Amino acid sequence: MTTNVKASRHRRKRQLAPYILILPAVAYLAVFMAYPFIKEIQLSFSRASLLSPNQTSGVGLDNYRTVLSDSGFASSLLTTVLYALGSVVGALLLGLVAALAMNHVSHASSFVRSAITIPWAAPPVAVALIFAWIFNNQYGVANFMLKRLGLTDRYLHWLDNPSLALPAILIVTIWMTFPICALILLAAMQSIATDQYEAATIDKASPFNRFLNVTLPGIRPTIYIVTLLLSIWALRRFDIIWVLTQGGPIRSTTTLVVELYRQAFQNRDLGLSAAIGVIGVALSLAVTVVYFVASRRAERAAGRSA
Amino acid sequence: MSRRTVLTGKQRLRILGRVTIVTVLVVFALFPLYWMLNVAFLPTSQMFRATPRFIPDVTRVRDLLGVLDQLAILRWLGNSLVIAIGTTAISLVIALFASYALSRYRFVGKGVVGFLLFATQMLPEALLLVPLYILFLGLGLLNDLTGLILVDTLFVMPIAVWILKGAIDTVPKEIEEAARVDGSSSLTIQVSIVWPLVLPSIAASAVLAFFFAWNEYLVATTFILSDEKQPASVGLAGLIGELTTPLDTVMTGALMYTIPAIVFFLLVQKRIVSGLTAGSVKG
Repeated sequence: MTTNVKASRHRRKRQLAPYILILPAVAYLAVFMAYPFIKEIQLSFSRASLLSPNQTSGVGLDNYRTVLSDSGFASSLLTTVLYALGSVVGALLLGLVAALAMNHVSHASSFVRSAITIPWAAPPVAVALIFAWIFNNQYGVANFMLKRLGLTDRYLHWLDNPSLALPAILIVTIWMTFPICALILLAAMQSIATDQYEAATIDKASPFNRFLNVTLPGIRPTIYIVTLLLSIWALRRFDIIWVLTQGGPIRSTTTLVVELYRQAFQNRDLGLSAAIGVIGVALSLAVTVVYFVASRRAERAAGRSA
Repeated sequence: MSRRTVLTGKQRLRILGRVTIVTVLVVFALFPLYWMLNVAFLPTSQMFRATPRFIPDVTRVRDLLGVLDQLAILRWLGNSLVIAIGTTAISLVIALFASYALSRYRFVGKGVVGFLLFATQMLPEALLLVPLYILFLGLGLLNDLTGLILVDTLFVMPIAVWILKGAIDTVPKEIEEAARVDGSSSLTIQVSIVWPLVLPSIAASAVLAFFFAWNEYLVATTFILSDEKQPASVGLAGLIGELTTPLDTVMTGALMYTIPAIVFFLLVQKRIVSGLTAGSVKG
C-alpha cells in the first residue's frame, strides 16, 4: 500500500520535473521575446512616436504601404542581400581555404590555429575603430600598401565612397567571421575517417579529386550549418556598420537592420520601423524555410548517389 | 612515418604552397590587431605621414598610462565586466536546467520550446529594441546595467541551451540510473553527476555568453543614457569622428578593451571549439 502511494508520488514528481526545469527559460522567453515580438507586430499597424511610445493610434496597413512604396526600402533590401551574400560566400571560402591548409600543416598547428582564430575574439567596436583608420583616405595603411603593390595609382576613398563602402565593410565582416568558419570546418575535416583518404591514395587520386570525393562530402552537413550561421549573423549585424558608416554614404551601407534602427531612433517613427522589421523577419523566415527544404533535398540526393 | 622521408619535387611544392597560404592567412588575421597596437604607440607627430611607421614606438609606454586619466576607460571596462558576468551567470543557470529537461524528458510542448529557442536566433536584436525600450521604460530599467544583462541573456541563453543539450545527450543514461538505485534525487544526480561530465560545454557556453555581453553595442548605446553607466563598446564608439581625443589615445582605449578578450579567448579556446562542435559536427 505505502509503496504504491510512494511510487505514484514518485511518478508524479517525475512527470512534473521537466516542467519545473524548463519553466525559467520559458518564462524568460515569454516576457522578453514573445511579448515584445507581439508588441512590435501591433506597433507596425499603429502610429507612435519614440517621445511618447505608449500613445498609439491604429492606422491599419498605412505603415506597410509607406514602406513598400518607398524606394529607400527597396535599396536597403538589396544592400542586405548583397551584404549577406558577400559575407557568407567570402567567409566560407576563406574559412575553407584556411581549414584545408591547417588540416595538412600539422606542425606548429596550435600556434597557427590560435593566430588565425584571434580576430573572432576581438570586440566589434574596437575592430571598427582600427579599420576606420586602416581605411583612412589619406593616412590609411590600406591605401599605402595598395599603392606600393602597384594595384592603384591614386589613393582610394573607402568609407566615404558609395561604391567602396560596402566592399570595405564586407572585408571587415569576413575578417571577423572566417576564423570561426575555419575552426568548425577543420573539426569536421578531422572527423573524416583516415581510411577513406588511404583508399583515395591507393587509387592514385589527385589532391583535387580527393578534396572533391572525400573531403567535400564529409564536411557537407557542416557547410550547411556554417552557411546558416553566417546568414543569420549577416542579417542581424549592426555594430560595425553603424560605427564605420552609420549606413552611409548615401544609404550605400544601409541594411534592413540599420534602416529599422534609424526609423525608430532618429526619425522616431516607431510604426514605420516596426513595419520594416516585420517584413524583414517574414523574408528571413522564408529564406530559412527554403534553406531547410533545399538542404534536406540535397542530403537525400547525396544519400541516393552514395 | 619513415615512408615520408623522401619527398618528390611535386610534394615539396605542395607543402610550400600550403605553408604560404597559412602564412598569408595568419598575417591577414593578425595585421589589424598589430596595427591597433602600432597606432596606440605612435606619437601624434608621426600619425599623419605619407609613409606610415610600421614599428611601435615602445618608449611611449609612459605616455599611454596617462590615458587612464584622460579617458573613462577603466570605468567603461568595469561596466562591461559587470554586464558580462551578470549575463553569463543568469544564462547558465537558466540554460543548465532547461537543457537537462530537453535532453532527458519527454513532455507536452517540448517542440514549441525548441522552436522558441531557435526563433530568438532568427530575430535581430534591432527588431525587439523598440518594444523592449517601451517595456523597460515602464519597469524603470532604462539606463540601468540590469536592463542590459536581461536583454543580453535573451540572445545568448538559447545558444547555451543548445550547446548543453547536445552535451547532455552524449552522457549515457545508465550512469544516472545507477545513482537513482542508490536513492539519490533527480536534482542531486543532475548537479553532482551530469554537470561535471559536461564541464567543457558549460565552459564553452560561459565563454560565449561572456563575449556576447562584453562586445554588445546596439542595446547598450540605445538604453544607456548617462556617461557613468556606459560600457566600453559605447564609450569607445563615441570617440570615432570626434576630434578632441587624439588617435593614439583612442587606440590605446581600444587595445585595453581588446586585449582582455583575446587573452581570455586564448586560455579557453580549445574548450570553445570542442563545445561548439560537439553538437554541430557530429549531429
